Amino acid sequence: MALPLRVAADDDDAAQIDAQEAIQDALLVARVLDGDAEAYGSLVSKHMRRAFAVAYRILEHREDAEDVVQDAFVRALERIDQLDRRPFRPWFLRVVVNQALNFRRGRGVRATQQIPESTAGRDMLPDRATENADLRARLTAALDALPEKQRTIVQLSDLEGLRSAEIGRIMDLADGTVRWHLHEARKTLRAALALTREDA
Amino acid sequence: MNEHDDSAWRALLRANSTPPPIDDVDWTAFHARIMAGTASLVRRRTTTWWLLLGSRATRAARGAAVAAAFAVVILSTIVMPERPAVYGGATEFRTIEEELAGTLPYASVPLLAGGADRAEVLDALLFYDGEER
Repeated sequence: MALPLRVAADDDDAAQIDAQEAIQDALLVARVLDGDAEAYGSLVSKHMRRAFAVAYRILEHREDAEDVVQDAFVRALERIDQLDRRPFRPWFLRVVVNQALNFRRGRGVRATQQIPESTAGRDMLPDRATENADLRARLTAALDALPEKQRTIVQLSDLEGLRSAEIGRIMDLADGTVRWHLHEARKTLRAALALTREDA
Repeated sequence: MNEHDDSAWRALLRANSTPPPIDDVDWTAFHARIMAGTASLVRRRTTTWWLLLGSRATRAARGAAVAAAFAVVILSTIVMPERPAVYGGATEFRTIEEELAGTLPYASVPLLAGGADRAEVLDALLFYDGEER
């Protein structure tokens, strides 16, 4: 029983941190609305890494992700009046996700960047490394085969560690709908991996 | 699906996906690039703010002038005194018949009228030439 309690406490802490960050962001946004460029610089500093990570998960290409994030910051500033009283981070990440998905659709199929050796298992035995590379390829193929919405939810939740409530705000979906999509996506991915394993 | 399954699944996914190359990005340069792209927008926002304020002030002044003129018209119709009385402090015109009928002593009516109706009484008062008909 210790784990669920700890998870609940973690969730509370995360929610509290999110609320504090949202207040700090709201103060910065108010200054931006007054024409304070330095305040926008602070918002950029605070959110550029997460934005880059999210864009990279969708695009799997460093330069493309950088371009998308840069465009997203411009677009967000153009529309910052529309933010109203909503928290900045999910609103901005929605801009990033939409930009990244549009970019991906426009780009079509393109080879993603090479996996760095450090993540592929440099010190592994050749057989083990081959097996891992095979698993990675199958997982990537299964992820690519998911519907766009489910794939994005998996990327934001399982890879970027965002909570379903925030993903809901980013993707304009109810919290329960996000969890349902996540459940379906995991089921599909597991089934795809099991099938390919059986085929092998 | 429980928490253990979720975390194991996440770990499997993370281990088999390419992590964002956070350490490869020159964040200072990237920040500067973003700010270079947005600086003009922040400036424009400031300028727009003042311009907007200016244009609103002009519009507000025009609106205030129209509202003031309208208020003067409305107030003048409310506060303006009635037309001056023509005579005796009366505030409206009355016909001679009405005036006479009003001044006729109530008690004398049956005496004078003697069964005549109101019009005949008025005729009698108006055309009385000193002789009974």
